[in-house]
Amino acid sequence: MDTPYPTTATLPDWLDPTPWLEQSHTAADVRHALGTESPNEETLAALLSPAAAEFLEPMAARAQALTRRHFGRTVQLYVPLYLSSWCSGGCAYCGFASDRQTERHALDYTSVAKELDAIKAMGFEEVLLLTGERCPKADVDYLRDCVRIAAQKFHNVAIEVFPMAEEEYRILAEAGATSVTMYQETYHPETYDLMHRWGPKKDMLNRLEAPARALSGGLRFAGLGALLGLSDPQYDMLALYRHARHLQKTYWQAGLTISFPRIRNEVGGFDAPYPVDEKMLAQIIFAFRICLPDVPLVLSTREGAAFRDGMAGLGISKMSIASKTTVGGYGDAGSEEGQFDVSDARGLHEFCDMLRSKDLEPVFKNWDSTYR
Amino acid sequence: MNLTINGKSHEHTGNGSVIALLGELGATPEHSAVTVNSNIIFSRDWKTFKLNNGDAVEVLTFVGGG
Ligand code: SF4
Repeated sequence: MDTPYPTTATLPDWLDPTPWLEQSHTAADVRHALGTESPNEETLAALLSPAAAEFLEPMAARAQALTRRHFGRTVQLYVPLYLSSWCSGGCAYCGFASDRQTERHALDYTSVAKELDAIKAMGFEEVLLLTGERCPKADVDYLRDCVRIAAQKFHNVAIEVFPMAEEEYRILAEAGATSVTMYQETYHPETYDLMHRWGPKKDMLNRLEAPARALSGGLRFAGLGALLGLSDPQYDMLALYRHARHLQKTYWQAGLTISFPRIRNEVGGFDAPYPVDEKMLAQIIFAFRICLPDVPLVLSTREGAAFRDGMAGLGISKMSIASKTTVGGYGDAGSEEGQFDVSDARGLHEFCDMLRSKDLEPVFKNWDSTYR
Repeated sequence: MNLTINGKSHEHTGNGSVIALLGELGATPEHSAVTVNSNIIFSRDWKTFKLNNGDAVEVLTFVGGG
């Protein structure tokens, strides 16, 4: 069947990680990377290399020092709200893909307001609104209205939705959206093509350029990430770093965040072709903290409580908690099937107590919106 | 001595070294990282570093296998 979306892409030169993947790294390279004050691709490649696996402790110590220097002893908190599970997409790893036999839901505006009130009552000041691919039940008009409702109640309204045109991002920014999260999933073109079996998401370059369009359209923060497990993590993490540096140079006034989602089980049973264990995930997080010292690094409830507790303040400075990955679920409306399984199911208070026991301060908002 | 381990109170009966504590907890040293009062204690110091009554210890055990 012919698809209307471009399926094969080559990475632009400014993103291509291959020059750094071809080098092998020694313990001396890792030591040098640990000491550098001006990190670059070379630093990250050394810290992601097998040689660096023996340096996890010094990496953790350096990551912790940098996290304290740039974020103090704070951890910023947010919570996701799934607005809709309707999706025409065919992502092999996702519980909302259109071939999954799950019931579909979309919140109406009354339910959106109720869910947001319930989230607000928990104490959150930042909410992340999510949908699947663009579809009649969840299009830009629907999102604009949901963002408007959210912006009346929250300081930070982030969206994790389908890629849009700059003009559409502008509409959402004017409605009060402050951040956009757009994970590339994988930067490896062949893997990307394989994982995105059908739908608009097949267009890899369109997704790649979406964060830049969002920042041009007036969003202030862009969240990047790759879904760990889909492809060679060294390839994906180097490309992710280059993507982040490129946006930092082009949109120096904008803020970035980087997340480290790792594939977990979902309905439809997907096995990660390149499983990433916790040790490697920790190495990746420390490496990013060292190479992007002032960028907030995010860890969601996909990860288990013990790992999250360990990483809080050690590299991670932003976390979700009390998350539902079902549509709604905070107020009285809620669907059964989630997009993925939550591993850390603790409530907000228990989580904040844990942070405080480690001398970390939970932070619910990091800036005031004086105009929007 | 009484320690707080990963947020929970724990009575340590060994010699007060990190390695003794890991043994007592049944943690695999090769897969663990340890902080005491939020400072990372390097594994090369686990035999000699002495814990004190009231210390807050975090034992981060990495689960292998993805
Ligand atoms: S990842 Fe997003 S686009 Fe892909 S199937 Fe899931 S909800 Fe749809």
